[in-house]
Amino acid sequence: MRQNNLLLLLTSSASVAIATAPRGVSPEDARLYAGSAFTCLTHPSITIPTSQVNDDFCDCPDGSDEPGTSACAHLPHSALAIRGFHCRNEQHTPAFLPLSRVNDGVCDYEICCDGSDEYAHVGGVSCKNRCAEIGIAARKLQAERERLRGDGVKGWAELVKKAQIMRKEAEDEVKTTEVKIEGIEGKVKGLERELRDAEEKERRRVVRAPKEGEGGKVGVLVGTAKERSEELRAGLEKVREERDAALERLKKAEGILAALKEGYNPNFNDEGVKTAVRAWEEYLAQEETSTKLNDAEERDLDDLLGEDPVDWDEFLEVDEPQSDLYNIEAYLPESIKVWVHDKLHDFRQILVENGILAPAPDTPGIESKAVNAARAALKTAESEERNNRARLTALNDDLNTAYGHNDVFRPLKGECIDADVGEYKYEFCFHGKAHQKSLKDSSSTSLGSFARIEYTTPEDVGGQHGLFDAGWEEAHEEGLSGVVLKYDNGQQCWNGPKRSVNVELYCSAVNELRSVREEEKCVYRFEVGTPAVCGDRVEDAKGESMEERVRDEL
Amino acid sequence: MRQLNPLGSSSAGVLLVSFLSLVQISKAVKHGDFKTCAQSGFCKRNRALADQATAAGASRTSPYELDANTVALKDGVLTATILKNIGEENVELPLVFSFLDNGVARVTIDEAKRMTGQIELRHGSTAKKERYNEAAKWALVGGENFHKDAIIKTEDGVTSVAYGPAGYQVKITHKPFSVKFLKDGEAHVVLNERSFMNIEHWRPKPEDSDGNKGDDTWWEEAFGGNTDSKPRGPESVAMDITFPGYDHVYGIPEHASSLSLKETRGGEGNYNEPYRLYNADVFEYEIDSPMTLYGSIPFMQAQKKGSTVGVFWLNAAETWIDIVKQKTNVNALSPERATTQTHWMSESGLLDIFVLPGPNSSWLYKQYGDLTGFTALPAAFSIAYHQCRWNYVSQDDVKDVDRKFDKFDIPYDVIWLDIEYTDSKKYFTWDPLTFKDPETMLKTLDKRERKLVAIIDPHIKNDKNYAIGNELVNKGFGVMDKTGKKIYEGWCWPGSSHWIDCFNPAARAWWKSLFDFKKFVGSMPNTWIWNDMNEPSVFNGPETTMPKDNIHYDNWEHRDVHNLNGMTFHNATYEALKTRLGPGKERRPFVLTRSYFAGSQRTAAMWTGDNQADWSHLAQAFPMLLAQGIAGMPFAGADVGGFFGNPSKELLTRWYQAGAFYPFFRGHAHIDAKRREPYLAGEPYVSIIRDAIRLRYSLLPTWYTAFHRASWEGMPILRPHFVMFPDDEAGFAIDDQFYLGDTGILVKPIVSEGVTETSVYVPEENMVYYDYFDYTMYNGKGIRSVPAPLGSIPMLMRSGHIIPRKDRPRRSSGLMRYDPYTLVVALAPGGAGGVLYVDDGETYDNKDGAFIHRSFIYNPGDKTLRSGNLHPEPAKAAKYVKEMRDVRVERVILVGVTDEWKDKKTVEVKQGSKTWDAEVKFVEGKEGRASHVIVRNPRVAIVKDWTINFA
Repeated sequence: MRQNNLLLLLTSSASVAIATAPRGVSPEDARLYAGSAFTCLTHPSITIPTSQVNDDFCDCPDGSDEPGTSACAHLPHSALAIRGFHCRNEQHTPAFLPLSRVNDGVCDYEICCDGSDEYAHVGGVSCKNRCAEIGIAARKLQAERERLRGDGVKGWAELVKKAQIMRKEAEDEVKTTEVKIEGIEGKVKGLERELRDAEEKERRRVVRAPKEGEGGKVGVLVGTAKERSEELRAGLEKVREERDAALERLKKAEGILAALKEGYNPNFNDEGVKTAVRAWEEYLAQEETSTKLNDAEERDLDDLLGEDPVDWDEFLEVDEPQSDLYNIEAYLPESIKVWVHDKLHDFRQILVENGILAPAPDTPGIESKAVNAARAALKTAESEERNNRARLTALNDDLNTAYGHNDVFRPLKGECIDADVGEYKYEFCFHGKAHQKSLKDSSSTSLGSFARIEYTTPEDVGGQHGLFDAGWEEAHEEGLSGVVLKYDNGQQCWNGPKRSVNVELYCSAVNELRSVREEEKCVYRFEVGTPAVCGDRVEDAKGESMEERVRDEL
Repeated sequence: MRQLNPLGSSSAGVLLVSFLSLVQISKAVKHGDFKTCAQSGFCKRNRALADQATAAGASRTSPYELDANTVALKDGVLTATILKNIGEENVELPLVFSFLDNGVARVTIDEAKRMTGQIELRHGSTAKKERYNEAAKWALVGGENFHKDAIIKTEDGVTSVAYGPAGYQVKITHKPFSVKFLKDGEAHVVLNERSFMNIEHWRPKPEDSDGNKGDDTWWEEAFGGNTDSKPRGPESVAMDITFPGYDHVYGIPEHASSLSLKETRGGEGNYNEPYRLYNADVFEYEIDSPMTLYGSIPFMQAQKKGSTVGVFWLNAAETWIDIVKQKTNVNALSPERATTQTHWMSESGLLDIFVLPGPNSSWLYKQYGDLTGFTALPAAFSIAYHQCRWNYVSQDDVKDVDRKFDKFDIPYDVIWLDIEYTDSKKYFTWDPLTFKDPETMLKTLDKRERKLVAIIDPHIKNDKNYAIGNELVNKGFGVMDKTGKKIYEGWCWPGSSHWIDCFNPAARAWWKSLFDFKKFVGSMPNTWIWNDMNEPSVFNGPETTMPKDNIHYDNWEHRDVHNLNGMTFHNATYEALKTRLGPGKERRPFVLTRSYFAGSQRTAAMWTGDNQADWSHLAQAFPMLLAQGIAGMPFAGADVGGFFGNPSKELLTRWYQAGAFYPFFRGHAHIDAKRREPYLAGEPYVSIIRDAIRLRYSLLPTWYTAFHRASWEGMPILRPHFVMFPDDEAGFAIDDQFYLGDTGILVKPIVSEGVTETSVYVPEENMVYYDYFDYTMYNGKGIRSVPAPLGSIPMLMRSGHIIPRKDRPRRSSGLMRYDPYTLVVALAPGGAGGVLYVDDGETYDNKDGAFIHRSFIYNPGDKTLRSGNLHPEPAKAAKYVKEMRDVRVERVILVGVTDEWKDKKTVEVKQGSKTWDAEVKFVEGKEGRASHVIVRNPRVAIVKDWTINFA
């Protein structure tokens, strides 16, 4: 980058183009090489005779005296003051070839279509000028790319329009839902009132006496409960024994697997063993606590199975009335409480003896039709409210989700594309999930879910792509936009992180998956074409996203 | 060890995971998978015998006696019978003692009953009855220059033979049998001095159940769920070999140990186990251990001040070597010096020992090379940088990595494909989904003269839909199980597999046919081969290899040939690749092997297998590579970056700086490791790594010249201190600094974390050492501090040498072919000299004289640098010289000039009948740096005689 900037500086100040530039120098820079002596471009203290320019010996520490040979190719890139060997490439586009590729016996047509880099015919090589054909091919590619890009821009505009509509629709729905919720809230309040009334009425009602039977309803209930409780205790006992046996076996099996994991040789790559170990590790990660016996729970079980704390017989014998009135006692001071208790007891006794009050009061839960109906109506209304609130939350979440500049990814949500690469089908859904599906069997691995949009600068992209100009074919492949969709939290990798994907986007007329690479262990890189990145420069998109972020935080 | 993150997706969780992954690097080898000496019957028995003999001291008598009546010497070969006294009878052990012109002697002892087949095998075994006598056929290429004038004399129960160069003598004591190898009357090597000699003769298994069945390891041995049926019972051979007055021994790779071998019978800082040689796929091997590894070369060098000798134990069965050192000198007047005593034990086969007299390292390596062959002069690309990973997953992946190297301006020559490129691990196929069009991929690589190395292993998938697998079975070319009738089936990468038996000539011919471009469709002339897993690695076998009672071609048991197995396989691959292009178009193959034996150097390069991404493994690599050089197989490297685990960026960077000095320079990574191609490291690491790789490329002319010397004289490419300075005892154990070939370049790569300077041992009082990069001078003998921040490699130039370089970086070494040279002259008062060897780097035209071999000598007397021709028959080089005639020297740098040179502006250049001037520039050295002058473009041709006169 540094030398590029320097060169830009130099070229922009060039006012007069000189007809005869030394080999490897662009016409714009020719003036720097005019005169009877040459001064190293960034080392003005070193001046050499012009005869030593391009004499295949490196004199300048910045390489500027040898633009047309490989003599300075050994210099560190940071020291070079020239971009390389300039190929004029008439009928095509001029380009700079790294100095190390000058006269190395290879026709570097992808950069130097005129073959001028091999003028020394090293090893007998002869590179004819192919700029005419390459120029045509390159222009064709260029036109094709521009056409695609044009379609992409149209696609982008449609997406933006659609996104606006969708946002509007969502916002409208938010409003209507809010109104709806308001209405339902009122309804719920009314129903709650109705229910309270019904219950009040019920409580006030005089209860009929039970028909007959030992101890009345409570007696029957207690008898049944005792039986049931004993059954449950026996059952629990049995289940606990079975559980202990199962745990014992599980422990053994886990022991076997642990030994397998400890003792196996991962280098042997036996798929069976590897799969087993992998599954075991995943099992360990997920099931960690479930197999452990919780002490507290265990104590609870002991209590349950130990001496029954409930003396059922007592319940059977004593018919302690359980009137709601009884609770009045709770509100009274201790002295009065005893008095009230006694009086009430006597009063109650009288009522029972006279057949006015049933010996056992009603058990809670046995309700009248009216109460049931009121409760059901309330439930329905509450559920309706919940549903609407959920919808509202979802709508708001969606509205707050980062769909990029202009919400351009909003219409793409849920849209999926895939490509077969090697033995897998890779599938990717916008703002959804990414998967790797085996073409050999039906197994599917989650590579992660959409997490966020990131924006990389062109410099970052350059840093990943090396120091030199790309060849013409490569240069005409649609470049990456710098917009990256991050997918993470995929399936845990054996001996690695959770799988994740960086979806690098480039402009394309249609959504497509161009390449898939596992960049490092379980970190995938998809190159995905989409019209969604055809309309913006990355800087704009990034700026917007910053705004969005600020807005979100507010 | 490996645990999933229970914390979910939080960043803390991610941190924890990466922390765990750091921790888990310190995992260790599974000791239980491999035998200790006590678990290996014959090792246990022989160690016990040694203990008894040691305990008995002088009263112990060895039961072996040379029958004086049988001794005969004819044409340099002595024959006799050794009798082993076992009570009522004697066991006859025929002895052949050969004496060679160059002073090498060989002792071979067999067993008469087995030679004549008078034994019975148990379990109806079809194995051969002889002791294995074909190791020589595989390992040796020479050793037949018998000294026909050897003179024999017998008196007082001692037979003496004078042979070889003057002063060489062997003394054989008859009873008990022992042998002394003398030079000018002084013993340098002694056999059976300690009476550990043991040849377990054949015996029938006693019938009755309560009778003495002998040792419980005689008839059956179980290990790791596998039982060895041992149809021949006990049959080990063992010998004690003493090096009187020699306190250091080296060699016997492959072990992750120090260069100077340690004692093995306990004590402070010593091992408790013998060094073991039993080729095995040792998963996550540990460092500083005598455990066996993937390859074996049973060659040992002993060094004392001013003298060196060697021993080559030719046996391909499982072998253990005990080493102890006895302090022999209690006389306070002279420095204490140890005698090294070794004890060699092999499970079966002949007792076959070569004693190599030295007396210096260059002679010794020549003697060893004359026996087992010299390292092949490699294809030029193969000593450049290799980029590997398990795995580049598709042809697009390969093309992308290829492109990235260019975009980041990092040279590389070879990209590699590990096992995943195949269709379901069926070798000679390509995955139809990921490598649909390998030819286009290979052509893309070829545009920049780059190559592909693809892996082909010896296990062949057992799959009825795999034509090659079916052929292997139907033609009977696989290794058989112990019945000798059924093909052996085991488990490896493809699952159920069979193993090709390359001991079988027909199998080798078939193997060769598989590499035909029509058969291995998708391979091209720039495709070369990696032979892995050839120990052989068998996942479900004992010690991860084959059962010893498996049967090979000609009914030899696997037990007998185990350590040879890997070599037979890479030899077969080499033969196939050499002739792929058809008759008259032989190319120098590149084959990388993991398993090897003595002789492997003739056809393959090796690497140190599955190391780990930690600093200790980086440090361990150099002693291992130095040992490879000692043992005649210098084309060796370690995985740069470490195979298992993820190196930190600092570690990766330091590893590239170290790797730039591996004869075989390859970055590699495990399938579970993160991507780590050099361009991914980020700055400043990428630039430092680029510099390290460029340094390797600029020095390729000297590397190639060093390989050339290794290929005909056996001199190691990385020279340990003791080889360079055999009189400097203080440096005999140094194995973390070394010299590059004959260049005088002393390197001490940084192998630990956070280092900013290091101590370099400068071994000479009167020689200046110049820093390679800035010419800082180091004067005088001693330990010197050399700066070593991350961006630099401690590298000194010994004065008196001339180093040829090519300073222009290209995308691959092939593209540097016609680039000009830079000569660096490190001046010494006595002058300076250097050598350059160049050829086309791929064909065998060099054998017909198509090469350039120059000497560069700077004479301080007349201040003249001369290029002279070392080619013995220059006429034969004419065509090649014509091709190279435009290759010039672009720059000469004289380092260490005095101020007198300050005003020098021009020098006179003479080439042929022409004379001209070249400019020179004086650069004054400041702050302890040497002054230097640069000759600007002298325009002399590399193929011509010329002089540059600085007077």
